[in-house]
Amino acid sequence: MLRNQADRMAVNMPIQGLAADIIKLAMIAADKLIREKYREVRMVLQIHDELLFEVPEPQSEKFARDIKAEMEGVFSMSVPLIADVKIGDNWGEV
Amino acid sequence: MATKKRLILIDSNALIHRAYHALPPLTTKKGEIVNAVYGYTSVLLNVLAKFKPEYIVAAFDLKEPTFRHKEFKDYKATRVKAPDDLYAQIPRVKELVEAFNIPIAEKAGYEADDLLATFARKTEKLHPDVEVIVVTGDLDTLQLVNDRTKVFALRRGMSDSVLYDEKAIFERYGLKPDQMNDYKGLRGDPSDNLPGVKGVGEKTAAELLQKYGTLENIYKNLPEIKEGIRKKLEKDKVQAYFSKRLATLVDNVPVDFDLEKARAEDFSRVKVINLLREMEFFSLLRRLPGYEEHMKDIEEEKSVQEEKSGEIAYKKIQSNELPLIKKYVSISSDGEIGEILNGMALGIDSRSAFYVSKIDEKIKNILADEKIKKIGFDLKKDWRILDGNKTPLKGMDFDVQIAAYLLKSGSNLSWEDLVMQELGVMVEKEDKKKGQATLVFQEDEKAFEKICRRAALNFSLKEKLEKDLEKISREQLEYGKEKTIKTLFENIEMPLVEILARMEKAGIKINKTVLRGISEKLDRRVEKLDKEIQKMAGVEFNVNSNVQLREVLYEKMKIPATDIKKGKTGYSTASPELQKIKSLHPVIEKIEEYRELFKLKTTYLDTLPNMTDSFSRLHTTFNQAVTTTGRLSSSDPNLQNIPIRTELGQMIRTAFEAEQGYRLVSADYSQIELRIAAHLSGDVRMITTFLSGEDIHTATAARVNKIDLDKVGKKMRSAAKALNFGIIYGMSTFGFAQSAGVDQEEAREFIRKYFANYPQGRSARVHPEIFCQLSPGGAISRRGENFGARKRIRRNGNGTTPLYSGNKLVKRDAAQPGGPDGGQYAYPGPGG
Repeated sequence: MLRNQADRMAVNMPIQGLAADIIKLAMIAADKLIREKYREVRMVLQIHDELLFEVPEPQSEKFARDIKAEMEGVFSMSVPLIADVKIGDNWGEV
Repeated sequence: MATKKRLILIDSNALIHRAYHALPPLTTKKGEIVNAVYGYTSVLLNVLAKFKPEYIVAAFDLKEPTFRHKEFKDYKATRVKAPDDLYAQIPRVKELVEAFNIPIAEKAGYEADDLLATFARKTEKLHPDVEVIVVTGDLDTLQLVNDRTKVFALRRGMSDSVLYDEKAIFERYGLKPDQMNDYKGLRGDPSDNLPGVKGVGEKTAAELLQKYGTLENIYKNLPEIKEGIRKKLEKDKVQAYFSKRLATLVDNVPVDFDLEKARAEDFSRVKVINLLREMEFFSLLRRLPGYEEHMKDIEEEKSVQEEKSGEIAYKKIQSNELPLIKKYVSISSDGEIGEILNGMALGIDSRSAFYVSKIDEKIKNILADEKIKKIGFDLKKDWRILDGNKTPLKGMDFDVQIAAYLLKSGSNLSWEDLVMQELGVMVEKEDKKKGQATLVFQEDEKAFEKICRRAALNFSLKEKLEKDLEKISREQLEYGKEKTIKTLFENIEMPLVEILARMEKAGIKINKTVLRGISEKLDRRVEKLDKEIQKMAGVEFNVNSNVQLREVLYEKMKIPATDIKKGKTGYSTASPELQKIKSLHPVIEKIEEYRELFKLKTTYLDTLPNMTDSFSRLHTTFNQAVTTTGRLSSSDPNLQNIPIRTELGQMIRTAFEAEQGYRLVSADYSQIELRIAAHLSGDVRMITTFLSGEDIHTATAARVNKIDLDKVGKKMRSAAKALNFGIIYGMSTFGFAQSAGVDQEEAREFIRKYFANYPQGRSARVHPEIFCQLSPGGAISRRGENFGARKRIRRNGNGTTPLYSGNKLVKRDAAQPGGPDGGQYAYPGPGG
C-alpha cells in the first residue's frame, strides 16, 4: 500500500510542485501590481489555486482585468495559463 | 513478585521484517533507507526502559538454508523475497546492537528463534532466579511460554505490544503454549507457507485441540470426529505432522550459552549517539537512557572552555552598547503575535548575541534598514510580532526554517530538531506553558540567555544551510538547469515572507450574523439526520459515539464487517472503512453526511466567530514550510478544508465579505494541474485541446469513446473528468469508479481506453521518473525537477499533508483525486 501511495505521489509531485511555484509567482506579481498601481487594494487570501483581493469599489473592474493579465503571464508553458476573475460582495459570490 | 533478574532474548529478524513493513520508508539525507533500523532501535529502547534487563542477547538468522529448507522445499516459498533495501539494513542493525554492547547470536543451519528456544530452556534449567522475555515481531515463539518465560510481541504495526504469558495465550487461542505447534500443524502458517490441514481454520483447530490435547491424540481418535472434518484430517495427515514438526522450535541447538556473557553492560554513549545521529534518529536520541546527563556534561565542559577562551557572549545590554552591525543580523523576538514585546535578541555572529529589552530608535533603525540583512527562524512571525509593536521589519533575507524546508521538504522539523540535525547541538524543548509563564512574568537570566542562544544558533544555521543551498545549486547548474534551489529560495520563497505577513495582518472580514444563521440551519439538518439514522437503525443511540455506532452497525444491524479493519476496541467506524460498506445499507450515507455536517459546524461555523479581532476580521496563519508539495497551507483556521463544490461550503464562504465600500475580487487559475500535466508530459493531443480552447473533459470523453465532440453527453463528460484528474493523481480503479459513478468493470475498461489514447500519459503513470525527465528547463524548482529519484518520494510518501491527501472534506472537484480511499486498493495497472 505504501508503495502504491508513493507512486501516486511521484506523479502528483511535479505537478503540484509546479502549481505551487506558479501561484507563488502570481502572488509576487500581484504584490508588485498593488504597490505600483493599486495602493488601497489588499490581497487577503490564497486558497488552492485562487487569490482573493479586497478592492475599493470604483477600482474593482479595472483591477480584475489587470490581475488576470498578470497571473496569466507569470509563467510560460506549452499551453496557456488561464485565470478566471470574478467580482462580488462576498466569497460565496465570486 | 519480587524484582526478578531478567534475560531479554531478541528475535532480530522478526523485528526487522516487522519494522520494515510497518513503517514508511524513512530515508536519511544521504538516501539510505533506515526504517527497519529505526523500528528496531525504537523497540530496543522501549524494552530496555520497560524491563531493565540484567541480561540481553540479540539473535539473528544467517543466509544459509536451515534444516527446514532442506526438509521442505516450499518452506517460506510464498514469502516474497524481501527487497534489497531490507537486507541492506541488517548490518546497520548489527552495528547498532554492537554499539549497545549487546552480544549477537547466530548459527548456520538454524533460525534465530531456534537459538532463542535453546537459550530460554537452558536458562530455565540453570538459573531459576531469571525470568526470560522473548522480544519478537511474530508469534512463532509463543510455544516457549511457561511460568518462567514470556513473549513480548508487537501487534498492529509497531505501536502496540502484548506481553504473552500462559494466561494471555489461553485468552487469545484457548490453548496452552505447548499446543501452539499442534495448532500450527492443523491450521498451517501462511507466512511460512506451512500447509497444515486444508480447510481447518483457527476455530476448528482450537476446538479440536481443546478436546484432544495434541495432534497425535486427534489422529488417534479420528473415528469420533464428525465426518466433514475427519475427511480433511485424513487427507492431509502427512502435511499436518510435517507442519507441526517444522513449526516446532529446536531447543537443543548445539551452542554454548553462558548467561554471564549476556550481562547487559553499560555502553558507550558517544558511539550510540553518533550512530543515531548518523541515521538521523533525533527523536530516539531523547529516549536514550542517560542521554540528557551525557549531553549536560558535554555542555558544561564546553561552556567552561568557552568562558575561559572568552568566545561566547550572551549579554543583556542597552542599545548604545551594541557593536556596529553592518551586513547581517540574526533576530529573535521575545514575545507572541498580538502581545507587547518583552525584548529581543540580536545575533551578530554564531557566537555572540545581545539582548535588548527596550526597542528604541537605534534598534528600530537597524530593524527597518533594508540593507542590513535579517536572519531568523520563521521571520514572518517576527515581522508580525514587531509590527504589533509599531516596529517595521525590513530586509528579511534568510529564514532558516524555509531554507531547511527546501532542502528537505516535508520533514517539518521543530527548531530544536533542526539545530540538532544541522549543528549537533542539543537544546531542550521548551514546555510551552511553563516557558511562557517565565517569559511573561520575569526577565530572569535563563530566559534572555535562551533567546540569545537562539539568535546565535540561527546565525550558525544560516551559514550551514547557505552552503547546502549553494552546493545543490551548483549541481543543478552543472546538470543544465537554469533555475536552481537557490533562485527558488531567493526569488520566490523569501520575497513571499513579507507578502504573507501582510496578508495575515490584513485578514478578512467575517459576517457573524450570516454564520449564526447557517449554524442554526445546520442544527436542524443535523437533528433531522440524527433522527433518520436512529429510525433506520431501529434504536436510540448517540451517532457521535464510535462505541455505540460500532455496536449498532455491526451487531444490532448485522452489517457484514468482513473487510472492516479491526482496532483495539473492535471493528473500525472510521470514514474510509465505512466507505467499504456504503453499498450495503443506506444508513452509511446518512452517517457520512451527519459527520460532515457536524464537523463543518464545529470547525467553522461555531469557531470562526470567536477567532476574529474586534473589527470582525479573521487572521489565518499561512504556512510556508509544511507541505511536501511546496504548496502553502493555512491554519487557525485551516481554510483549505472548506469544501469547494458543496452547497454548504458555498454557504460558509458567503460569510467572508468585503468591507463597506470595497468588493472582493477572486482570481482563480483554471485547471492548472491538467495544464501542467499536458505541459510536462508533452502529450500533443492534450496540448492541442488546451491551445484551441476546447473543453479538456469533453475532448477526453470523445477520444476515449471514439465519438465526435458534440455527441459527448453529461455522464460521459463527468466520467472523463474524474479520469483526467484520477490519472494524474494515480487514482485506483476503485476510486475512479466511485467518483465517476460507474462500476469497477466499466472503470477498468475506461482506464484501458484512456491509456490507449494518451500514451504519454501512460508512461507518466507507470514510470514517474520518465515523467520527471520530460519536464523541460522551464520547470522552476527543485520540487518540480528533482523527483527523478524515487527514493526521495518514497520517503515523503507518508509524510505531511499535500493538498489532496487525507481529509474527506477537501473536495476540490467532483473527481476528488487521490482521496483517502484510493490508497487502500492496489491499482491493477493500466493493462490488467
